[in-house]
Amino acid sequence: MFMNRLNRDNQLRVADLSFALMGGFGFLGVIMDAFDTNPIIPNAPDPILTGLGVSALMILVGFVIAHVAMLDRKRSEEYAYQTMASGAVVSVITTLVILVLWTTDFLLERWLGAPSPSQIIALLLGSWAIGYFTYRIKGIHE
Amino acid sequence: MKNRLKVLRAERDWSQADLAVRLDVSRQAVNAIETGKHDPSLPLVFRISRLFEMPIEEIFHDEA
Repeated sequence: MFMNRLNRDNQLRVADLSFALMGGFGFLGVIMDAFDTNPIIPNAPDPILTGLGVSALMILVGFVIAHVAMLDRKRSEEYAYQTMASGAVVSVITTLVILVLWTTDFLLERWLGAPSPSQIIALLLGSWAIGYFTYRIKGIHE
Repeated sequence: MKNRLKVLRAERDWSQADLAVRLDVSRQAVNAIETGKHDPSLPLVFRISRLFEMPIEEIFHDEA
């Protein structure tokens, strides 16, 4: 019982620490990658094959992750899981909105240049951390 | 959703940590439920109801 208690409380402490680190790396990643002046975007050798390959990968990985998430939800402390999941929604929408603004030529791309893949990942992680801590501090139903 | 968790817990002289142990959640979760920052899942609501031996509607109140 005592060990279980430690695990339950620790899940939130570990989540707090992980998201703090993730947020830090997110911000650092977005900033540091801006100094990469030589982005290499090679042309795909066969666009159809690339499209099919990426689609197959998306279906496969998405399916596996969906099932892993189900197990994760069963095993996790429900408050920690719900806070993380709600933070993930913030992350996805924030990233999409910023990408739309960033990749539109007459908006941010004119000044910021095109986003790199690592900047997109950093954006995703950084905004996840923002969402997580917003809900952690203010609550989900405030 | 409002609830009487804090009152019921105090009546039994339990700390948040005590209640968390009994419900198998974190102490932070108990605090978040009491302060209205987190609505518990249906399985957890049933566990709370069983623990306090009270119907759910006597513990939780819909604000609407």
